[in-house]
Amino acid sequence: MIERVIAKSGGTVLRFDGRLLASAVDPQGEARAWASRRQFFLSRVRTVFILGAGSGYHVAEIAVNCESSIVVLETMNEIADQVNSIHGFDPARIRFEIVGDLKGVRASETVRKGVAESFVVLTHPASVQTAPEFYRDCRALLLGRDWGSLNWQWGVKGHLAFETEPNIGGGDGPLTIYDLEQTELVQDSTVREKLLIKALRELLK
Amino acid sequence: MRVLVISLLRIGDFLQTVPALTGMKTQFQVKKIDVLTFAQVKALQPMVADVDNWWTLDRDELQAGLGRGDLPLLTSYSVLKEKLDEVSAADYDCVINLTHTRFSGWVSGYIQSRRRIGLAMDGNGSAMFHSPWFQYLDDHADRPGRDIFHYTDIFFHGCGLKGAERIWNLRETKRGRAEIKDIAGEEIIAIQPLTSDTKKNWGAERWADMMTRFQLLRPKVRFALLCAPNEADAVDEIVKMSIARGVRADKAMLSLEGAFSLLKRSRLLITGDTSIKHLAHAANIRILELSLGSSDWRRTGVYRKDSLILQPRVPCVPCPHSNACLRPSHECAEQLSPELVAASAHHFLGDNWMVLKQLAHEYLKEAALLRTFNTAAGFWMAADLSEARPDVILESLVERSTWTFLLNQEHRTQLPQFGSEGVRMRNELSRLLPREPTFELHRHLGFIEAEAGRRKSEMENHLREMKRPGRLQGVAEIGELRRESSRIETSLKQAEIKIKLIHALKSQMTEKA
Repeated sequence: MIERVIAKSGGTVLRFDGRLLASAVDPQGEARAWASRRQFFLSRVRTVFILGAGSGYHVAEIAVNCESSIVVLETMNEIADQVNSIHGFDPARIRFEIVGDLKGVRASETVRKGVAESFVVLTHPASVQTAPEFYRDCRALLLGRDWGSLNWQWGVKGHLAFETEPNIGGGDGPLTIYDLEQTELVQDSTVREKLLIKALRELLK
Repeated sequence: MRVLVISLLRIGDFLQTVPALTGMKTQFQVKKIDVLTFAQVKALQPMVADVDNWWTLDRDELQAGLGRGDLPLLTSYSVLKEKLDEVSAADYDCVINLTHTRFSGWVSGYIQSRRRIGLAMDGNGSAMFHSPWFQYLDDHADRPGRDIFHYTDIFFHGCGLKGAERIWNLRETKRGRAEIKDIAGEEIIAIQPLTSDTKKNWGAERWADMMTRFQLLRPKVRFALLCAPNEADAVDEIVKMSIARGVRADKAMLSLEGAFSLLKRSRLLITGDTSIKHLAHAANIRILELSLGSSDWRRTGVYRKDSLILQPRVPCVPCPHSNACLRPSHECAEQLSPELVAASAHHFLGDNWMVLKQLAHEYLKEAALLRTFNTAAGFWMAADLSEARPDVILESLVERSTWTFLLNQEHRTQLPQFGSEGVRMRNELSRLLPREPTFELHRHLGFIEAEAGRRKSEMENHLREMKRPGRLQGVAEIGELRRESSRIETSLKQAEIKIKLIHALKSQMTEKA
C-alpha cells in the first residue's frame, strides 16, 4: 500500500508497506547528499539509469546535475505515477520503465537504447528494499562485470557476441578490462574496437 | 588544412608543443588547429592563441570507470569511443601525436585521418612513427641523461617545420591580471617550490633557508610562492617557516592565468621541474631551474636562452620517472645547498655570468651550473659553466648537426647543404669558443672524424655479415633481421654524414683562417 506523507521540510514523500521511500525530515537534502556521492561520469554519459523511483527527489537532483537522459527502472507503476504527480517530470528527459524481471529489462527498447551508448547506473537504497532480488540482478546486468551481462551489453552495443567465455584468470572475481582484452571476440572484432580496449588498458599501468 | 594535435600528458608537456603549434600556423598556413588533451590541460585555453578547439578526455574518470566495481565495465570504453568518434567526425586532414605514450599511440591509431605524424599504433600492436624525428624520440626515450634534442625541438622538426625561430605564443588574460592585483613589490621573486613528483622537490627547510640568504643579498625582494590548491598546506608551511626568519614571503595560490600574470611582473622565477617554468618562458623573465630527481634538463629543461639550471652532482640523477628514490636519503636535494642557490640567483639577476662561472668552479663538486642557449640552427643546448672542454662542446655540436641532417632527410636531397651547415657550425664555434686556437679545434675534429670512420667501417662489416647467404635460420628471424639491418644502416648513414660535416667545417675554418 502506498501512502503520501508530508516531510518536515514541506515536501511530499511516499511510504510503501510502512517503509518510507525518502527522508521524512529533509528529502531534498538527503537527495543532494546521495547525488553528491555519485558524480562519476555524470556529465559525460548519454544515459543515467536509476534503480528505483523512491519519492523522486534523487531523480530530480540527478536531473539538475547533468544533461543526460535519465531512465528510472521501477517495479511498480503506482509508485512511478505518484512520483510523477509530485515532481511533474518532463517525459522527454526522464523516462520511467516499469519492469518486473530481467527478461523485461533486456527486452525494453529504452534500456537497450541506453545500453547501446555510454551510461552509468545509480542505485537508490530506499527503493531497493521494495524488490531487493530484482534490483540486485538488474544492477549486475547493467554493471556488466560478469560474463553473461557483459556479453549481453556487448551485443546490444552492436558488436558480435562473445564466442567463448573469457578465462577470468581462473577466478570468480568481477571482470576487468584485462579480461576484455583477452577475449576472442575483441581480438577477432574490428581493429578499431581493439585499439580502444588497448588504450584503456594503458591507463591502468 | 585542418590539423588535430594530440597532447595527452601534463600541462608542462603541452606547453612544450606551443612553438610547433605557432610554427604550423605561420609556416604551413594551417587554418585550424584543434588539440586533444586531458581535461586539466584545458586550463591553458584562454592563454593559448593558436588553438581553435579543445577536445578533452578525463583521465581520472576513465581510470575510475575501469577500476571501480560500482561503475559499469564498459562505461569508460563507451565514453572514450563516443568522444573519439566525435573527433574523427571532425574530419582532420592530419593528426599529429606530440605525446609519445602508448595510450596516445592507441588513441591516434583509432582516430580516422588522411595523414598522421607521430606515434600511432595499429591493430597488431605495431608502432608507426611517420617521421624520423619521432622514431629518434622512441629510440632515445628510455635513456635518461643521454645527450638528446630537447622535446620542443623534436616536436618542432617532427611536424616538418624548419628554421631557428621558436615562438612561445601565450597571452595574458584579464582574469589573470585581476587575480594578482593585490600582489605588489619592487622586486618580486616568484618561487615554485613544489613539483608533481616528490623526487623533484627540494624540501621546505631548504627553500626557507635559501630565501633568508637571498633576502640578505637583495634587501628589496619579496617572494611569491606559487601553488595549486592541493599544494596549499605544504606551501603554507614554507611561508610560515620563512616569515619566522624575517623573510617577506606570501603564498600565491593562483590559476595558471594568474600565475602567468604574476610571472610577467616578477624579476625572476626559481623553480623545480614544473609546468610553471615553461609558462615563465613566455612571460619573458629570468628563470633558474633546480634539476632534481628524475628531472632531465636535456629533454625538458627550461627552453629560454640565458637561463640557469642547477643540477647536483650525484651519480643517480636523473633517475627513472617511474621508480621511487632508491637512496637511503634524498641525496640530490641534500647535495644542493641553499647557499649556492641564493648566491646563483643573486648573480643571475645581476646578469653576472663571470661570477656565476667562478661559483661553478667553487662548487664544482656540489653541483653543475648550466647556461642555456640556442644554436644558430635553432637547437636548444645547455653548457656547464665550469667546463672549459672545447672537445665536449665541439662533439656535441657536430652530433646535433649530424642528427638534424639525418632526421630531416637532408642527405637525400639532390644538393645536400653540407657547406651551409659547415658555415653555421663555424659561426657557432666562434661564439661558443672564441679563444680556442684553430689548430686545437682541427685536432679535436680529427679525433671525432677518426671515431666516425671507425664506426662506419664497423657498420659496413656488420651489414656484409648480415647479408651473407645462409644467415637466416627461420621465418621468425626475418623481421628481427630487417629491424637490425635498418638500425645498422641508420648508424652507417649517420657516420657518413658526420664525416662530410666535419670536412665542411674544417674547410670553413681553413677559409676563415
